[in-house]
Amino acid sequence: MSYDGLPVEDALAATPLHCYPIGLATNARRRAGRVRLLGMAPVGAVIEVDVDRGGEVLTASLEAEVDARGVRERLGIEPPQERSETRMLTEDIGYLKLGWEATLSSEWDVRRGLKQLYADGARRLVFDLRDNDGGTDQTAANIVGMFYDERRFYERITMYDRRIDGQRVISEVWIEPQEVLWDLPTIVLLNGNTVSSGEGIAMMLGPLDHVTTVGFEGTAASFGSSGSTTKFPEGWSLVWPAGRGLDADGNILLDSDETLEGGVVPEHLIEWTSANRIALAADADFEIDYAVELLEEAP
Amino acid sequence: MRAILILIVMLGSTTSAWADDWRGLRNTAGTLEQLEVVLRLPTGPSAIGVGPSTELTVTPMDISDLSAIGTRLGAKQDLFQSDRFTWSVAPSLLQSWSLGRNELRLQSLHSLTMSRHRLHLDLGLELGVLRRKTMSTDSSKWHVDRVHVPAELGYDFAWSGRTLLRGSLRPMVYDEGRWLTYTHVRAAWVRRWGVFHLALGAGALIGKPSEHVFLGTYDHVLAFAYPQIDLWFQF
Repeated sequence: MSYDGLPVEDALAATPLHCYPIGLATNARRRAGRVRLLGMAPVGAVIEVDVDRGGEVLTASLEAEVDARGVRERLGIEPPQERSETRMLTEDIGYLKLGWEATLSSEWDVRRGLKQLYADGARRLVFDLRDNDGGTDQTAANIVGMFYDERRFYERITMYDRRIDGQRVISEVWIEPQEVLWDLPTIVLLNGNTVSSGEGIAMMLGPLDHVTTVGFEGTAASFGSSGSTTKFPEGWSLVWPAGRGLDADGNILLDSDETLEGGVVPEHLIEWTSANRIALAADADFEIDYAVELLEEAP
Repeated sequence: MRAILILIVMLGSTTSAWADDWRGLRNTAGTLEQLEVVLRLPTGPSAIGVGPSTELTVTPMDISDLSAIGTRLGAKQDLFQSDRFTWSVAPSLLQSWSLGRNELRLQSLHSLTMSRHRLHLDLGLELGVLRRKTMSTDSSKWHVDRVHVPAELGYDFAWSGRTLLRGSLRPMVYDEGRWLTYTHVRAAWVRRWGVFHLALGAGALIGKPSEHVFLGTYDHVLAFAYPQIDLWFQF
């Protein structure tokens, strides 16, 4: 209800974001960033909070302590450690997590993973793209091709060309049928750390009839080609997209605009209820369990 | 010691001059003699002559298409041979290690030899065949998904009995729905020491290729230089 004497929304609005270690390109992401930062204060500072727990107002004093973890770990935005992971969740629900798709190896992992899960009895899938760190455009399109039954336009890539002082089309990327067609019920898990090509995969899988995107929040809205960096003293860097990902009509895909809206918003948004927040804090696999329930409830 | 002696004998053994014998080179007409063998690195084609005008080839690890790395088996057959002109055909089949992709390649190789000079024309047809497994029906289907028509015009000059200079232009006549979009330009220096052969060179890709690993179908003219090394034993 209140934080340090301010209504929570005011306290959030007053939380600065300029030291946040990654870009926050949408209103939703900025809010999520502020929520993460809100709990930080100088060591020893005491913050008074009022909390509404089911109609009962609890008042508490919180004292800031030393947290020796790295800033990304503290904020819960660490990059994935593994390229991929597969396992069975139930007798017929398989789980495939993809950390990034920067090389052919990721494509091979997904292909092998889908084959192996099918061989193990999986007829439904949880495809986990949370925290996906992005990768190579064509690799992402090839992974999408494992869910599509026909050739389909994916994106047109442009890059800044200083000779014309503008964007120049570099290439077109198409989704093409691959060795595997996974056309069985699938839930794709997303979060705000699903970035770049990971968002591209989500963007193209979302419209498929056999796929439902699920998550607490939309993706990062950071689809443009990375690559431009200027380094400043004291370790500061300014990073911005070198190129754009465009649709067939030339419109910028996924990146947020001046309204700070963009990214892939899950078709099934998990509500930020108190119960869900508490369950998420208690169980790292909460979203996976949620997806399993959805698959099992589906007709 | 014995191994070193064998190597010295091998390197010092007399072989015919390039101008008399162009066998073993890549991308040229003509076949090995019966039971003559070429052994290349795992990514190059090795061959054995199995008849007066037939050879069999194997490339244990064919990486010419990164999205379909596999093993290629093939044959080469002389169809016509005179003092100056040789015409061979070379069908081959690539099986990807993922077992889902194949590539059927047909090559028609033509060479015109005039003393120390040799001209080549290599016309090819490559059909990429995909075997797709559909999970909902647990069934598989084959279909052609990529078609390439490469051509290569090359020139060899026998600089000396042991040294050869090569140059070639390799345009992609048809590249997955588009015509004449890019070419390779290559030059190499080839040297033989007895049974050991070494080719060092450089190439450049210029144009708008299609690839299936990084950025897809290029709309921007790409100019990309690369080194070439080829070494083989021939005995």
